[in-house]
This record gives sequence, C-alpha cells and structure tokens, in this order.
Amino acid sequence: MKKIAHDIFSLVKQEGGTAARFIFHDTDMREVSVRDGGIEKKDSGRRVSFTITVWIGERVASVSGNDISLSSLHVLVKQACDIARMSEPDPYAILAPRSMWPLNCDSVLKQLNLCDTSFVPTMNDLMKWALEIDSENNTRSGISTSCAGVCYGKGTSFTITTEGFELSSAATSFSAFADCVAKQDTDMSSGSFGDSVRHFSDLLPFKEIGKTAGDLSLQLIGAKPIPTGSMPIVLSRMVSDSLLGHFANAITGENVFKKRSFLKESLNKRIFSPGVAIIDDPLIPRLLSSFVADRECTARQKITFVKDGVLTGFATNMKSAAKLACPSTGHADGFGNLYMENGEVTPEKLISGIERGVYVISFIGHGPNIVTGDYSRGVRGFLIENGKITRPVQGITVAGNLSDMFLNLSVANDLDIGRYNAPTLRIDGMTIAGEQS
Amino acid sequence: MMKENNEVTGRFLERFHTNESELVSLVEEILFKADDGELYAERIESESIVLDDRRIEEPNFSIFQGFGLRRVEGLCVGYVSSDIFSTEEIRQKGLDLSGSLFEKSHHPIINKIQGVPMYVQRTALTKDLAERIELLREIESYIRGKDDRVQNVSVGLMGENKEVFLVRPDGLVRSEIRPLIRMSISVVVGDVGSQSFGGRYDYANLFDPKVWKKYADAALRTALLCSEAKPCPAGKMDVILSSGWSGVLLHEAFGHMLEGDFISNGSSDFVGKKGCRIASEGVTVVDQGNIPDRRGSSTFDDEGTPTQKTILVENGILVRYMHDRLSARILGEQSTGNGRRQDYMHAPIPRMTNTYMEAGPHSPKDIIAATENGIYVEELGGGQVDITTGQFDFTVKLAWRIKNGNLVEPVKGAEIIGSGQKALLSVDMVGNDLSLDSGTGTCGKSGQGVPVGIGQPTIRIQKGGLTVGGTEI
Repeated sequence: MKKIAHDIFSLVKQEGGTAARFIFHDTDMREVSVRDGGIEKKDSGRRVSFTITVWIGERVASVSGNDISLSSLHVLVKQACDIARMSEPDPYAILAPRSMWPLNCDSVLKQLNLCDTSFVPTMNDLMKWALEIDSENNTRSGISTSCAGVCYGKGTSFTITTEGFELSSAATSFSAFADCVAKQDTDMSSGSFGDSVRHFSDLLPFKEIGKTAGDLSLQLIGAKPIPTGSMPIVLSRMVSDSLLGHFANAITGENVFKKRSFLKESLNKRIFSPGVAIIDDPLIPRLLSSFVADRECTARQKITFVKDGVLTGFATNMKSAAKLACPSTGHADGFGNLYMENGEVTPEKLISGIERGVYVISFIGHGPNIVTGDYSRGVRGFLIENGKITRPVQGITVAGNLSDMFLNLSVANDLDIGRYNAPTLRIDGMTIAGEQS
Repeated sequence: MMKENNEVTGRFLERFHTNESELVSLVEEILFKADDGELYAERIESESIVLDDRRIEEPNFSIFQGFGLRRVEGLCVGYVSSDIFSTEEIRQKGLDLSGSLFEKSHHPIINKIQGVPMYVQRTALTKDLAERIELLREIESYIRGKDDRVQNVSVGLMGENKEVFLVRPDGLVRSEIRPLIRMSISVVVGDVGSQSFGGRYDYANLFDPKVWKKYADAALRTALLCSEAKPCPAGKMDVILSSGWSGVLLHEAFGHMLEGDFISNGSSDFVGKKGCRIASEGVTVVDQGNIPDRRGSSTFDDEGTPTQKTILVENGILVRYMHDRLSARILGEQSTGNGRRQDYMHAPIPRMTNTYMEAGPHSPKDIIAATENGIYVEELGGGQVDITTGQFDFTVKLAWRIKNGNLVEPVKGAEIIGSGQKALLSVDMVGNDLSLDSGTGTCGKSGQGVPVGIGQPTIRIQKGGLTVGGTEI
C-alpha cells in the first residue's frame, strides 16, 4: 500500500500538485439474517474505497474510487489536479501541522485494542448465532413473525500524506439484532433490539438480544394515545443518547460558524441543569467510536464539553477552528465516545416522583430543528401514573425546545459507556399531543 | 435506440474481458438449480461541489465500480459482491455463493421484453468545474442581493452517471445509463429555508435562471417566514397538505406498507386486505417507474424487469402490491418492476419508484375556504413510519393557521403523527392540482438508499385523521 501511495504522490507531483493525502479503506464483511426460524439472507463482500486529496497551493480537490490499478489512479489523479486548478483558493482547507499529530500512533492503537484477533467467524457461525437469537421468538406465543441477524466485519485503513504522516490500523466489528412483531386480535406491535461491539466477547448473550426484542413487542401490544397535556417525560437508556446526538450536532464548529446552531452564542453559558457533565473520550479501549487521529492528522483526545451545566467549548476541525479562533479539537470525523456523566439517583427513583408522565422507549420521525432548537417527535412507550409504569402508549408526540429541555434535565445513575452513552433522563414541562383533552 | 445499450453492454464485457455468450453461460453455471438470481454490475461516475459561507468547498469527483451475484433458493437469498472486474473473480465469488458443484443446465428464457430505453446517448456531466462554480456564485449573490438579513447561503450541485449491466441465467442481458443531477439551495436568516431539485437529465436544465431563481426565491421565502412563524397549535384539527412534496406522507405512511416483502413476511398492516377499503372514495394511488426524467425512473428495475405504471389503490380500494421477483414468486403474483438496490453491494428488494395520488375535483382555494379551523401545511419535512402499526411521524417545516376559511398566520415547530390507514380514510377533499415533487427524495430501507419521486394534489384530512404535535395547547 505504501508503494501505491508513493506512486500516487509522484503522479500528483508530475501533474503540478504541491501536497496530497491518500486514505484507503478495505473491509471484508459477512452477514446472515434469519426469519421465523429459517435462513433469509447470506451476504458477503469486500468493500474497498480510497480518497486522494490534492493541493495546488491553496486550491484543493478530492477524488475517490475503488479501482487501485495504476491506470485508474492515473486518470483520477489527473482529474483531481485539473479540478483543483479550476477551483478557488481555500486557505482554511489545510491539514494539521506536525505538532498536532499523535505522538505514537502504533502504541495508542495497541492500547485501544480495536481488533479481535481471537478468531474469524465463518458463515456457519453467523448462521448458528442468528438462529439462536431467533429461537427466543419464533415459537413464542403472541409473536407472529420474528427475524434476527448477525454481521461481522474486519477492516483495515491506511492514511498517508506528503508531509510524512502515516497511520495504518485494523478493526473488527460484531453486531447482532432481533426484530419481532407481536399480534393480538387486530392489534400489532413491533419490537427491536440489537448490540454492536468490536470484540466478540463483549457482545450481549444472543438469547438476551432475542428476548429483549420479543419482550418489547409484547409489552407494547394495545398501546393507545393519551390526552393532550403538559407533563414530564422519562427517556429510557434506549433513546436518551439521542439528546447527546442533538447536542453534538449543535456544538459542531461548522454549524456554529455557519450560524446553523441554536447554541452558537452559548459558549461559557449555562445550557444544562447544574451538575450535568458531557465528555467526549475517543481513547477508551475496545469501543466502536474510539480512534487515535482524525483525517486531518490531529490527535484525538478526551475533552469535556459541558462542566456543571456550562458549555466549555465547540468541537472543531482545522477549518472551523480557524473560523472560531481556537485550536482544532480533532473532530474532522465527528465525535468519539460522547457520553453524559451519571447523576445521583436510580432510574426507579427518577420515575417514582412523577404523578403523570410518559416513559419513552422509542422515537419516530426526523428529530429537532438544530438551528432553532424546536423539538417535536412521535414516541412509543408507557404511561407513568403515581410513580409507576401502567400501560403502553403510542400515537402521541412530545414537543418543546432543546434549550428549555437541556435546562430541565434530571439524570439517573445507569450510564454504560459504549452501549448506553447517556443515563436514563427525566425532562419536565414537555407538551404531549394526543387525544382531545 | 438499441445502439447505446449495446455500447454500454460492450463496455462492461470489455471490463470483464469476455464476450456475451461466455458470460451468460458462466452465470448459468453459477446459478444452476437456483430459483432465481443474476449478475449485476455497475460503474458510477459522480461529481459534486458546494458553495457555503461564501467559499467553494473541496470539489469532488469519484468513480466506483463492482458487481454482485445473487442466488435465490426457496426463500433464502445468497449475495456476494466484489470490485474486481474479471470472469475469474465472478467464478470465485460464485463458488463462495453456492459451494456446490456446477452442472450445465438450461433455463427457459422468461422475459425478453426490453422496455423502451429512457436515457439514450446522455451524460449528466456536461459542464466543467469553472462553469459550475460560476453558476453557484451567481445564485449566491442573487440571494444575498435580495435581502440583507441573509446570514448564510449554501448551494450544492451534484451530478452522477450510473451505468448498469445485468445478466440473467436465462440469457437476458440488459444495460443502460442512468443520469441523475440535483441542486440544493439553503438560506439562513434566523431559521433555515431549503429547496432542492433535479432529475434524470443533464445540467442544462438547472443552468436556466428561470428554473433556479424559482427555487432560490422559495428558499428565501421559507427562511423569512419561519423566522417569524408562531409556535404550532397542538391536538386534533383539519389538516390540508399542499400539492407535490407532501406526497412524502403517502410514500411513508402508505407506500411502504404495500411493498411485497413486508406483505410476504407478514410485517405489514395491509396483509390480506386486497379488495378492502383502505382509503376514502376518490383516493387513487399509483407507483410509476417509467415517467421520463423523474428521480425514481429507469427503463428496467435492478432485476431486469421493465418498469411500469401500477395502480395500488383505486378509489380507496387496495388493488395491488408492489413486487420484486422474490416477493412476487412467494405470493404467486407478477413482479411490478419494483426490485431496486442502492448499488452492486446490495441485493434488490421491493422499493417504490415514483409514487403519487391522482387528482380529484376540488380547487385548492375551495379546500382552504371550506376549512373552519386547522392548518395548511405548505412545506413538509421528512418522515418515518412503523410499518407494523402504520404509525407515522412527519416534520412540518412551514404551515399556516386556518381560521374561518382564511390563512391567518405562519406557524412552525410541529410534527404530525397518525396511522396510515386512518389518515387516508379521513381524506375528505382531493384537489385538482396534482404535481410531482421537484426531484430531491431519497428513500431509506434496510440500510439502502434509492432515489424516489413523490407527488399528490392538495388534499384535506379531516379532524381526527391526524394529530398535530405542536407546543401550544
């Protein structure tokens, strides 16, 4: 691969390029899914893709493809240089200087331990596992159809620049899921559950994955709307990290300097209730979102974005950092393991104080408007009455504004980083729209 | 007409270093004793540029190519893909697929109808980078010049040429070029207004100032209106959906539940409801994959079946499901040309093409005038559906409060939710202004995104058919 990279770099030089970066990904994946106890699909393939970015002074362009034959590379490199020449200078489109590179990529990668080298599962292994997940549901009373699947992937990546940055890594992933439909008379409801990890030994037991999906579909049978009104909601761990996703989107440097975030003016201000802490840690071993550097060669690091409810920084790449006059935080490829620290109470305690509210287990719809913070989503879950979960609910929306929701947040103590990056959360003062009150 | 297709076929045969008869017998060998399957290959050239925050961002060009082999046995689908074009690689992947010994067999030729080629001698990528940059600059300064409250303008332009090639064991060989272009314009004032448009043609259409000015004006108008819009009322009320893009509700809340795989595996609420009333009298819903220039169109689907016009719901009665070859075989029906895939790495599944509701008798004006209390949804955002319960959820980008037959004030920040059947059974007025969307939709299902078209006339869903999830009680 190094040889190919050097061929590319000399082609770039021939065509008048002044700097270049080559990123190469190669992934082998295989997947089996089963339905109602029988094999539904077996899928395998190798996915190769590369991107070559070329600079001619301050003009930049990129090309990508999956054919690494020399003739194909030649065509693409020439194309990259041609379009870079025709483009306009962009002084912000730069890579990190050497001082921002990780000190020792290889040793950090070794600690991160992203590759399960213990064994490579065969198609038959995957089939056996998928059937085991599905066995929980395919003969279970009340469940009309069930499916399950297991996917294995092993990928290698390689990044190299004309400035001398070089990073090569390997990673594995195992994911497993179950989907069920429960039926009772004319009522139908669906339930899904899954898990995704880098090491096989970290995967939840197959039977547990199947059972959880089946339980959910059965518990939701007979779900009905409730009357319109204002009340607290509790977000279960299955959905609470969606709020972190909206937060991440709103503090992404690009959205901030392009005026597309409701948090653009909130630096050093209180945006969450006191005590709330939100941290991005891309250096936790074995997790899916862990990595050593971003594509701009900036070392990734543990960063606290919210401390005691106060926003302490934005997440930047080289361009947004320059625009916002701060150093890049290494977020050119997005966030690492963004999580919310535990609060002090148990989830049960969080619910027990609620006279009437909704416990949310799934969302439907596209989510909030990040520019204004307006929030309105369809939910499924359970009614909370006098501190107890009573009956299933669907066909309602919860609405509010993220600015208010963040400030009215109470946090439970059931964080499980990598699987559930936010604890169970309670939010007061939401508008529920459902039946006529 | 046939010449271009032969040229595409010829290019793929050259890439595989083989000839047609050799390739057909190889596919026949690999799919021996299979119930169905094919070799599918593609090569996609695409390019894109974005102007944002007054700057042209890193222009991009890419070429991706590869093939996928599918072998169907009973209800089980085996799929392998590769990015190496050679007959050796096909043979090797074929071994991975079945693991069994090959014998020569003869498949009967099932379907030799080619369909009329839709995209002949066309390439989408007809403007060089300098011309495209100039256009983006012109659009940006036009919008900034119109209103000094504009904080940011972003304009993106993408073009794609997709060559597809398909070989079935019965000897059917099909190929075509599918051009696709799309422009998106987004304007930030206090809130954002966005428009995007395009279709299966070359850039020339979008370079027409009459075309892009219409969408630029609309994006700015939405941004300005949303910036001062009031919070949306919550609860149940009459809801009028504007023509065109609002058909996304029909697509999500209704269309997916009529897809053959969800019918054959029993996940859909519409299983066994053929011949039943599932929508109001006057509601006719169609899926049509052969409308020229539309995002969801192609000459044949990704299994080689010619695309067609399929009436799904006729005057409120469910008459047909949408099928690929697999779901059609399981249910003993015919493929409707709806077997589509994202790319060579994915097996085809039943997907919508261009899905719309036919026009009715009412003028849009009369529909609003006949409404006492409710909202007129001018712009819907995206949505999602749970196909088992039919529960759906849509973002309302911009709507108007209606009081006594008049549009009173703009409102925003709402979701509308409901169940597909209940909503369509509550349609009490259908407009005479059917229009298709501007050419921007991508539908996601099972991890595969495919371009689709949607459309409808202005319709009214009477109180009780939908719930509006606003913040004002």
